[in-house]
Amino acid sequence: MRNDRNSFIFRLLLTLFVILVINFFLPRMMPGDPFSTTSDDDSGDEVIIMTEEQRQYYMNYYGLDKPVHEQFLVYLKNLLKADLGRSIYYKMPVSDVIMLHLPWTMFIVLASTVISTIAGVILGTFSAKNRKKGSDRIMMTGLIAFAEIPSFLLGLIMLLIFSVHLRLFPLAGAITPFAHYSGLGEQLWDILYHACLPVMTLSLAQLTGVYLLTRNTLITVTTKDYIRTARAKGLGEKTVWTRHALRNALLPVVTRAGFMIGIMMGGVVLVESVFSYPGIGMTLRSAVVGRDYPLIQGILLVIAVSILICNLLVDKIYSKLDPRVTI
Amino acid sequence: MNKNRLLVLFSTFLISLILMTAGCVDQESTQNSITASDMDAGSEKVDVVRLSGGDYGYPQPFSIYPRGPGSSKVGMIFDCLVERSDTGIVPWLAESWETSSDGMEYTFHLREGVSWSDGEPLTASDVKFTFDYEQENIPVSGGIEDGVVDSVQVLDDTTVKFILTQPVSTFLYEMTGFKVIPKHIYEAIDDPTSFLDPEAVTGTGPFLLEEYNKEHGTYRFVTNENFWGSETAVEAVEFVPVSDELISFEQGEIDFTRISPDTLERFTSDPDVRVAQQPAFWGYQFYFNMNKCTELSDKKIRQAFVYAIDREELVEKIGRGAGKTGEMGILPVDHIWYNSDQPEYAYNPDKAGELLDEAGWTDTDGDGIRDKDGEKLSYILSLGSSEVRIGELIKERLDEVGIDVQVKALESKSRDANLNTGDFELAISGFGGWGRDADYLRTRYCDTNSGAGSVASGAAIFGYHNDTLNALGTKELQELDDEKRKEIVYEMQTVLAEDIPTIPLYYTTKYDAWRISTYDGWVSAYDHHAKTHCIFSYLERD
Repeated sequence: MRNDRNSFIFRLLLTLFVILVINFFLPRMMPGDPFSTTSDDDSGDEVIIMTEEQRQYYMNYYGLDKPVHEQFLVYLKNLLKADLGRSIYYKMPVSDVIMLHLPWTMFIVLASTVISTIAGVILGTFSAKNRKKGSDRIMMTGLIAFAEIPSFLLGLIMLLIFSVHLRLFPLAGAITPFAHYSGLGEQLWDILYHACLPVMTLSLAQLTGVYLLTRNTLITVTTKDYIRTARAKGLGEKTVWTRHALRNALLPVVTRAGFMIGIMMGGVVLVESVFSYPGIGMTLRSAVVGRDYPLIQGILLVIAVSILICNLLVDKIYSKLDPRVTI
Repeated sequence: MNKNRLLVLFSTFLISLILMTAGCVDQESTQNSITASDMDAGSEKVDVVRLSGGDYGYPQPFSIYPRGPGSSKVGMIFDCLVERSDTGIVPWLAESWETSSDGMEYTFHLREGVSWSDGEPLTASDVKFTFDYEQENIPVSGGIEDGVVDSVQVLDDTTVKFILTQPVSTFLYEMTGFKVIPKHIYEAIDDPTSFLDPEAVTGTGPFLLEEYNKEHGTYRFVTNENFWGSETAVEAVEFVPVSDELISFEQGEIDFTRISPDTLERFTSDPDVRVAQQPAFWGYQFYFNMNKCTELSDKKIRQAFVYAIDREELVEKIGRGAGKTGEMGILPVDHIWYNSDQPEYAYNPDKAGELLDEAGWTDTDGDGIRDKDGEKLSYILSLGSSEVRIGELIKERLDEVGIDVQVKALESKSRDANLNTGDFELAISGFGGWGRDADYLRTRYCDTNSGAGSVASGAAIFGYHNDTLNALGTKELQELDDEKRKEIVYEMQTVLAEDIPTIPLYYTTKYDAWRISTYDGWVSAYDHHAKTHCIFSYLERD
């Protein structure tokens, strides 16, 4: 048992180290550096083009003129002190930048995971119960077709319908600019109001996966002997479905929800930029464009760690749902 | 039940997260508590103008971000000694100035009675301090380049003298970016890049920063009641995040937008929206690497490229009409020193063929590609992913005259890296700043490297050398008489247009649209296309 735990911790540390190495060297392998831009992004925009002296000054200021292995050691040393370094673009500690933006992303990612999981399970159960009937067919075809729409396009469509034409929701941002709230209630309302469209977009984009998984596992489960036994015992249809079928079918759905958080961290970049939502995805994008190494490292590390945590949580929940599984 | 417990767990987590984010919003609150005092009762000043925002950093010279329209926000708070208006360089903090006859000394006379927004008076020692301070701490933009100024002397409270190391004709132009910072605040700051206190944005300019929110990318500037110059025409300027500029403009969330030619029609019938075309100061340039492909050193081949590429077609098909074709004298038509009398190159594939024949490149093996001594006229054209369509059109045109081109699309930063290191054969890159002082003809195309070069934009030209141009460039840099300098610049354009070191493909001329009923005072500086960047856009004018 003790050995197991040791090897578990060892594996975890090894994973972390591999992540750190990749996070550190991958951004630096991209061509260019933070200070050598010569062209502008979009016609009309203008970047400040640095002179060679300015470039040298900043390379030195951020320690980028040292050999790479030296930089890596400095990075590791600082990391042990929980110091993620300073963002070159934002000119402030990386941890501060992340703390400013990560909560917004966590908020919409978790909210949409919960919503899409619940909605997907309900729709999936409905579909499985009415298997091969018209309603099942329509729902399945509809949702599969729907899943083919890329999430940013979905976001744009939602934006056009709900914000531009119906004017129900705001066009951009996470709060009303320059708002001064009279109370927490008002503030919460403003945040929820602005989060509505991004959360709906992300939820819809994930819905089909949960729906299909629930439906298919339920259908497989209902052919099992123990369901026949439960029915033979004379249990009501409702008990058979919820206690016996759904509980067993839920296992893969929960696993999926855990992994989904990790996958969504990637997909959220596009949705955030559609709604100009101040999350970590937008920040990561500008960090990559600007070759802001410390910030890229920091954000990737946080994402990697949160995926690791999610996986651990999924394992825990799994063993609760299915006592046969131990970790 | 486990499922229920799970749900409860999730929802608790969710709620705590919402509260967390709410907490964050609370913390940011207002950065600057200076509030605008009451407005004059009689004035018809516009209350607020809203513009497209986003986070570009704290608006002081050292902490602004090096991309996007950040430095214009610094300009709302900080003043320079001289400023660029729609007509040229005009007195600003300096009321007047004298130049010594050898061009080595500039004496500026500061305006009397100018004070910082905290009430301290502005003196000549602030100017000297700014220069000395920026030797150690380089500002993000607008610093005076190393080696141009030897020292700065304070003659009295309102007189300051800049002593140069050599005569530099662009010195005054460079001074239009030299933002004076308050000595009594910055002298105690060792690391100004992380100086984000409210005092950091103490300036002499027409606006004060009332609120800045990094997280949400919002700025609110309000009128500085103690501003020395003419009244502001808008009480406040707000920058708010937008998902799409055009939609936000149509919905009335912002009052000014850039529009593309496709959407022009939506506005032409609206009497409340004024549409204006921008000057052509943003352009795409086509690069030759004469180090890597030595045959390109032959002027005839470069000229053949110009004749073979249909620049009109690029404007029509890629720019959808909103652009002006590239001038081989480099300066765009809208530049104040554009020389209309220079060699012209209209699209002429036959002429291109003749030139290539003359240079000895013919298609001997009948594969459609010209060759000479067993070598084919075949190139890789590197470009950013947004320039692929330009590249494809050019490839087609060059194919027609027997030049083979393969388009290689790269992420723009990778292409920039290749442009800097010379790791390319042909390349296309787009950038702004084509309206700036014509000295960029020297910094881009002369390989004399005579010191000053801070108005440079675009990458270096590999393997290009022209003695005549170098001599003209050196002369231009030292000529202090504007009329004489203009003549030299005219001559440089003629030389460049004959020699074709690079090909400006076309300059974009986008459209601006704004709502007249909100605010109609937009104007652009003589050297830049962005009206929202020009400080005169926000001030009363005669």
